[in-house]
Amino acid sequence: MIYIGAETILSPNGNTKDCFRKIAEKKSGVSKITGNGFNGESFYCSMFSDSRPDFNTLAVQTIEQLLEKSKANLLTEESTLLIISTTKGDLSKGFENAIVSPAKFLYEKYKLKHFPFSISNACASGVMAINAAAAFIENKQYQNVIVLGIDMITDFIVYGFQSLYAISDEPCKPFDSERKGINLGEGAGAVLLSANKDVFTTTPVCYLSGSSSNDANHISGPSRTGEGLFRSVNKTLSASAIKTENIDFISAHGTATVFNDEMEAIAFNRLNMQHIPVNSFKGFTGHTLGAAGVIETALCITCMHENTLLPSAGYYTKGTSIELNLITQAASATINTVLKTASGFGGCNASLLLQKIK
Amino acid sequence: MKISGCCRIHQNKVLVNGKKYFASDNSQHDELSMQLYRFLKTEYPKFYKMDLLSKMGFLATEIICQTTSAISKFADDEIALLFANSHSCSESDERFNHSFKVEKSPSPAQFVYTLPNILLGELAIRNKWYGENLFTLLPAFSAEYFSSQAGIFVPQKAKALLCGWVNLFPVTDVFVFFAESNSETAQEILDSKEIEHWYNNIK
Repeated sequence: MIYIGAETILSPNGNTKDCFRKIAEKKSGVSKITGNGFNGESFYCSMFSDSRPDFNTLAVQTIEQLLEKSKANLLTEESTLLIISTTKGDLSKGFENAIVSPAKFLYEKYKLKHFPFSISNACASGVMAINAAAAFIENKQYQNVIVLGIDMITDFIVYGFQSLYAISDEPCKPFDSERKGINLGEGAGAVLLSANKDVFTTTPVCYLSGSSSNDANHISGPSRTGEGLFRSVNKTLSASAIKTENIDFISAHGTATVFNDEMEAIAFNRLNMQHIPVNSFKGFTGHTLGAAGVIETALCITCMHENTLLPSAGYYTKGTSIELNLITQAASATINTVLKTASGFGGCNASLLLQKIK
Repeated sequence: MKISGCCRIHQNKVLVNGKKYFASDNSQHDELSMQLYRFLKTEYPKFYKMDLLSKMGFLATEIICQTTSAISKFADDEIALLFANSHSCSESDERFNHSFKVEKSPSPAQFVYTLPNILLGELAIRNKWYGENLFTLLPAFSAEYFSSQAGIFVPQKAKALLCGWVNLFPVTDVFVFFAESNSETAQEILDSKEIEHWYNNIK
């Protein structure tokens, strides 16, 4: 059995508890930033406002909060590994060192026994990092793996997504007919995976299985048939004893671009999952890129503990060729089993299954 | 597990399974990649659009596909792509940065290459590989890393592995190898010494 818990979020919407409560109340961390686009455009994103932390400070604060929910000295044990999930790392350290530099900083600061791995697999990084962590434990290479997902908003990222015409000029609307693109977000999330339930001081859930698949179709456009996502979810299901009818909630990727959300709707329909309650957290957190999969998994675990389905922001009218069962208001529900998915540039797709401890 | 084919590109030399395969008179990345592309006689127009990281990974993989017959016997989702380097896609980052800072026009064509796993997407598209794919950042080449990942992926998540170290700085340092199961036993180990041997074999 692999346990996952000590769920931790540090985002413009606050910590894990604040984040959960605000989403339940439909209060978004996304707000208007005036004049910071490449040509002075205004755009919407979720950004720390006052005292914006630098990359390493945010990483440390997030790890410290996770450690409060786990056994003392866990981080520096021989059997513990740290995995960092990020797309761009800390660009202030220069392009060549942007990702390895924070890993080295944390390695030295905490005198870790193993140099942290960093996974950079576009917007699927977080889910893939959690899957990698679970695989290390399953293979008995480590007992405990901490996964830290972290990315910050920079001009580099804003101008890049602007150049692709992917940024919405209003709060994003995943899966809605009026959706116009993403809202970027920044922040960090962390989870602890372990073979040992006793290392958690809060209740964990079970990690059942996970996988990734490539679309083998296009480097920056999602597959029109949802092939990679379809394959990944199928592999994740077949690696567990879970059947479609056992899934209580899907935390989708839901970036609110026209093509991504349509791809997901097609894939979920091919999987016969179109009726399962589904949301996208992106309207509340913004798209936090390499942090997204970790932050959203942390939110999924919180939903399971709170027996609450959290809503999707900005959904009013069916905007995909296949109608999904979008959650529009927070609702009480028994959530035993959750499917988390993510997709990203490079045609990558990843998924994982969580289940409450029986 | 065993390594059934490997390609090593070091500075201006290319070795396949330890034997000299190609040498360029120029160790500049652009020149080397174009000379090698022409040498392979591959017709793949998408190659010209790729960034250097993708080009190098693509060329080494093309060579392995041409020289390692075992690779063709696997189904489209049975090969996991496990690639790593130390500097991510810094060369594309510089180019995109230049496009908005100096040319005052952010280039979408360059921005899409500012993620290192785009290389995996290029390999998947070229070869119609739908399997697992993971891009990891390590401070330096580590045979132990690939050995440990091999133990995780095979047989649970894949039947074979295409592993790659694609570093461009300070010099071209590329090592791509194909590894598959060599027994029916449940214990699947890819010896890090075997990986190390082929990586260090650059004479």
